[in-house]
Amino acid sequence: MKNEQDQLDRLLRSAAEARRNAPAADDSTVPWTLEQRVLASIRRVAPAAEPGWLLPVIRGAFASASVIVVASAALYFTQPAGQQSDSAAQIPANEMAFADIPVSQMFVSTP
Amino acid sequence: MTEDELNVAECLDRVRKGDEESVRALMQHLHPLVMKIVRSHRPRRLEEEDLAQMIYTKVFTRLEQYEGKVPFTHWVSRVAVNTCLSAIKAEASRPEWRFADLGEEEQVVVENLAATTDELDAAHQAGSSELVTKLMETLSPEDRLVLQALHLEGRSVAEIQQMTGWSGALVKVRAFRARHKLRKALKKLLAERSP
Repeated sequence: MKNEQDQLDRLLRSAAEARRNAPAADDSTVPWTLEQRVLASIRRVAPAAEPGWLLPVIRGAFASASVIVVASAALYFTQPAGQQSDSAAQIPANEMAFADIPVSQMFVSTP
Repeated sequence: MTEDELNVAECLDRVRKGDEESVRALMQHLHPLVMKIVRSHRPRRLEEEDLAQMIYTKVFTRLEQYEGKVPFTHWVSRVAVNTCLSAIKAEASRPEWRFADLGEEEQVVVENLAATTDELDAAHQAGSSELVTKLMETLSPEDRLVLQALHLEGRSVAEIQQMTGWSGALVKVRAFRARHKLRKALKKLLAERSP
């Protein structure tokens, strides 16, 4: 056991010595290719930057739309039942005839 | 370049705002540290530059996770070490070396270890380095990291703690178990050599 430990220690010491004697690599500058690859991967991963003015505009548009919806609903429900301009309730009896009027007028007007 | 010279905090602010010049400056600052870790803990099949790119990308896209409680270089070391460990795990290669698989120089080193109790001489350093690399490949990535840092790079337990975020006790236990496994692997090689 002691012998085995000694063998391992000698092996590790020799490997460490080899490592110390190895010529040092020059890491003082980042290779251009690596730099470009990193920048490209960051651009790919990072979410696209939104312009600063976009968020207030979106918020304003949402608020305006909400006000319009609420106001329309309020107007609809505050009108007396008889005066509600429900287009669905005013569908003409002969829908096709109504739709044909412009067409027939067009034929009448052509010489 | 030290952290003061670069003013890492200011540089980080600019990087967060998307300034690519600051990314370049920070990469330049971190490069020696990152490459040292890459060279020590790189899986065989992955190129140094590929692994370095993975590390830098992680660092720059996860900057919001850096809270500033430890120096920036310590945080980068941990990201780098964890990326290397993941890459080694992904390789999923834990070969079992036989004496016959070893190169000529490595076989001579094994013979020498068996024959004498003297230190291996300088002529055998390359062989012993390659042999240790092969034996380490039989260990788990974490065991490999601990042994490499302790015995080959001469780092202290405190330095390994700082680099990995593991507790001192965990580092010592891992080192003890890893040495045991390495001893067993070497013993097997010694037994297989021709008498």
